[in-house]
Amino acid sequence: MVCVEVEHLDKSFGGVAAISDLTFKVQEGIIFSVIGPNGAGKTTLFNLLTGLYRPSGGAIRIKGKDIRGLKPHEIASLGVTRTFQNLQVFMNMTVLENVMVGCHMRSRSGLIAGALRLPSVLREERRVREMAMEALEFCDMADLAGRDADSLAYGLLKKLEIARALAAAPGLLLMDEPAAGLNDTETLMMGRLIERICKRGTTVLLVEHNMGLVMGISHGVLVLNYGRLLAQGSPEEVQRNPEVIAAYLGDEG
Amino acid sequence: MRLAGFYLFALFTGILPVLFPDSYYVTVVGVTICTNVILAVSLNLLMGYAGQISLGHAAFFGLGAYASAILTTRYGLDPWVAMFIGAVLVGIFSLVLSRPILRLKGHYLAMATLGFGIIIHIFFVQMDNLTGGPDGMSGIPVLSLFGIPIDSDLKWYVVMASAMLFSIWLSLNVADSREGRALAAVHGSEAAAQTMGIDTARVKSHVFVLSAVMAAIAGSLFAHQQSFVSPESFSFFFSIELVTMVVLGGLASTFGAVFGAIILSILPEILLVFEDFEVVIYGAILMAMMIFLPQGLFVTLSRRLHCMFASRFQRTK
Amino acid sequence: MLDQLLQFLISGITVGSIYALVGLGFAIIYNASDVVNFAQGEFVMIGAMSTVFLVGKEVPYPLAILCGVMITILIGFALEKFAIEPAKDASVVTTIIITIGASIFLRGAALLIWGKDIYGLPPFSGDRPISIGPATILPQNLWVIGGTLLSVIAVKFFFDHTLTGKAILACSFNKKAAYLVGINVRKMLLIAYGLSAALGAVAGILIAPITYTSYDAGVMLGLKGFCAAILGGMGSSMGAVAGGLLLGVLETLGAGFISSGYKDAIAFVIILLVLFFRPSGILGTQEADRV
Repeated sequence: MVCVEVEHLDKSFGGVAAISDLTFKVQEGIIFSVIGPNGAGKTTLFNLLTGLYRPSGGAIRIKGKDIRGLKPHEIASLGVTRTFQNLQVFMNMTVLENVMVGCHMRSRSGLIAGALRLPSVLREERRVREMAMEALEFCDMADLAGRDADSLAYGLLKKLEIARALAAAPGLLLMDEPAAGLNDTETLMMGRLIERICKRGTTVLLVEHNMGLVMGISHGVLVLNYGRLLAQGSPEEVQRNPEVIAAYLGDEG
Repeated sequence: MRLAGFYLFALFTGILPVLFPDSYYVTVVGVTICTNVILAVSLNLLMGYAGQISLGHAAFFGLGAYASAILTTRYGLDPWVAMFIGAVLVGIFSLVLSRPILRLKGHYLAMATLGFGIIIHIFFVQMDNLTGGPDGMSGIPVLSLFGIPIDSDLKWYVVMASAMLFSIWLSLNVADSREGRALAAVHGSEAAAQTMGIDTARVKSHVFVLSAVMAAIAGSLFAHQQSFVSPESFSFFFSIELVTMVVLGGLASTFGAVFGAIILSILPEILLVFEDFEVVIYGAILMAMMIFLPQGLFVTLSRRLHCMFASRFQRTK
Repeated sequence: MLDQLLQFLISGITVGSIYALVGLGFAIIYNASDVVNFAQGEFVMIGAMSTVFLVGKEVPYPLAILCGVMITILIGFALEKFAIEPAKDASVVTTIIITIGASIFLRGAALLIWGKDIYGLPPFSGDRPISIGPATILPQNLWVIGGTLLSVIAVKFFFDHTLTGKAILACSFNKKAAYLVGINVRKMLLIAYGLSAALGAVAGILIAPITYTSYDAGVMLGLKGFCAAILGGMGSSMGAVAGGLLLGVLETLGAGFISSGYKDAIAFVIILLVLFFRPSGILGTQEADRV
C-alpha cells in the first residue's frame, strides 16, 4: 500500500523555487527519510504535506486522497501529524495537557458541554487522560505528566512533541529533525523510539541531518538538493550514489 | 480540589452580606463588582484563553441590555423571555461576525473590535425612536424569580452574585475541557494546533460567541437592576476598562480576571476622595501596573506566594 | 448637487488632512517601536490647548504656536522615556493599555489645568470666505491643507534624506542590527516620539480655529488617526497620509449625503470593510501566502 504519493510538486516563494518538479512515493509502514543540505527544501516539503503551505503546482495524495486545497486540520484528520524543527510545544500548558491536545481528534465534546461539565464530558475526560498517559508512557515520560511544559529540558521537549503527535494515533507521522541538538546517547534513544513508532504501524517520514541515525533506521531515503530530487533508494544505494557523494556526503568527508 | 479556589470565593461572597447587610460597599458596589466580574471573566475566555484581543466587548453588554430594555418596555415581553431572545440574537450576531473578525491578528484585530464597539455605541445614540437616544430608556420592569420580585439591593446582590459564581464556574470548566485546551493550543502555537487537527477558526469562533452571549446576559441583568439604560454605560471607554480588568489581574487566569474586575470596580470609589485628581491618578496607576507588573497583579502575586510556600516546604522536608 | 459635492470635498480634505497628520504620527511611532500609541490624540489636544492658553496669556500668536508645539514635543519625549522605555518587550496588549493609561493621564491633567470648557483659537488670517466657483473656502481651510502638505513633505524629506531619519528607519527594520552598526537606538526612539508629538500638535493647532478644542477633543481624532494608519497599511507613512485624506473625504460625503449623526460610524464601517476584505490595508503589501 502506498501511503504518500507526490507528483510533480512545485513550490515557489516570490519567484524563488523551493521545491521543483518533485515526484516520489512512500510505502505504508516504513521509515522514510528525506535528507539534503540546508535550504534543500525539506521543511518546505513537510509544510506542504501538512497543508501549512499550498503547492504552486503538482499533486500530493495521502492514502489515495488528494489533499489539494485542504486546510491543515483537515489533513490532520486523515491521520497525519508532525513534529517541528523549531519546537512548537504549548508552553502555556502542562506536559499532560500538551498530550491531551494531541487527542483532540479522538474526542468530541463541544464548548458548551465542556463549560457545563456534563457527565458525558467527565467520561470523555477520563478516557482522554488515559490515552494521553499511554502516549507519555510510550515515550518514557509518564513521570513528568504534571510538570509545566516550560520547565522541561530541550531533549524532553522534543520527546514531548512526539508524544503529543502520537496521542493522535496517526497513520503517518512527519518528524522534522528529531535528533537536532541531542547528544549521542539521546540520539540513539531517539532512533529506538522512532523504530518502535514504526513497529506500531505508523509510517514515519523523517527529515534529519544525522546520517548515522538516518542510515541506521531508514527503509528508504530520498535526497533533495535545491528543491530537486537528487537520488532515491535504500540507504545503501543512496550512500553509493556518486551524485549524492559529490553534492552532499562529499561535503562532510 | 480542582475547584478549591472557587468554593473559597463562593463562601466569601456568601458571607459578606450576612456580616454587612447594610453596607453600601456590599450591596451597591458589590452588585457593580458582580456585573464587572461576569464581563471580565467572559472577556478573559476570549483574550486570556484564546489570545484574541477585543476592544469592543462593551458592545455585547450593551446589546443585551438594550434588547431587554426594548423588548420589555416597548413590546411588553416577560423579562426572562426578553433576556433569552437578547442572548440568542447576540449569539447569532456574534457568530456571523466571528469568522471575518477573528481572521485578523494583533493591531488589526484591536482596530476591528474597537471600530465595532464604536459603531454599536453610535447606533445606541442615534436610533432614538428605538433606544431613546442619548437620554436612554427608563422604566424597565422589575425582574422576578420564582414569583419573588427582585426589588432591593440585597436581593440583587444575591441574584448577581449567583450569576457571577455561575460564570466563574463555567470559565473554570472551559479551561479544563477539550475545547479549552484547544484554545490554549491556538494561543500557544497556531501551526501546531492545526496539525493536531484543531479547526482553529472554529474553536475561536465558538469562544467568541460564548463570550458575547455571557456579556449579553450580564447586560440584561444590568438593565433590570438599574431599571434604566443609556449609551454612556456601553462606550469605548468601558470596553477599555474591561480589557484592563483582564490584563490587570493576569491573562489566562479566571481568578486573575475576577481580581482585576474587583480592583477596578473599587478603585473609582476610593479615588473619589481625590476629587479632581481622580482621572490623573487612575491613568497613572494603569500605566504603572502595566509597566511594572505586565504579567498581571493576581498572577504575579500568586506566583510569589507559590514560590514562598514551595521553598518553605522544601526546607522543612 | 455638484456645488454641494465640491463643498463637501473641501471640508473632507480639511478634516482628512488632520487625520493624515495624526495617522502619520501613528505610523512613525509604530515603525520605530512596534507600539500603537493610543495617546496620539492627546498630542493633538495638548498642542491646541497649550497654544490657547498661551494666546490667552497675551503671548504673540506665532510664538504661542511654536511654544505649543515645543510643549507637546516634550510630552512626547516624556511618554517614551517614562512609559514606553521601561516596558521593553511588553506584549501588544500590554503596550496598548500602557498608552491608553498615558492618554487617560494626559486627559486628566488637561482637565485639572483647563477644566471642561471649550476653547477656540482665532483664525490665522481672517475669516473672510474665498469663493471657488460655486463653493466657498475659509482661509483657515487653506492653512490646514497647506500646513499638512508642508509637514508631510518635511517628514518625507527627513526620512529620505537625513542621516537621523535613515537611522530611525534602520531601527524599525532591525533594532539589534541598528544597534550593532552604532546607531543610538534609544535616542532614535526619543526622536520618533518627539516628531510624532510635533505632528499631533500641528494638527491640533491647525484645526482648533475651525472645530474648537477641549480636554477630551483628542479622543476621536486619535481613533480616526489610527483608522487612517490602518487604512494605509500599518507602518507605511505615506499610506497613512493617503488613508487619512480618503477617510476624511468619505466620512464628510457620507455625513452630507446620508446622515450627519452617523458620521463617526461611517469611518469605522469603512475600516471594518477594509479589514474584512483587505486585511493589510488598501496600500499595504499582502502578507506572505502562508495559509
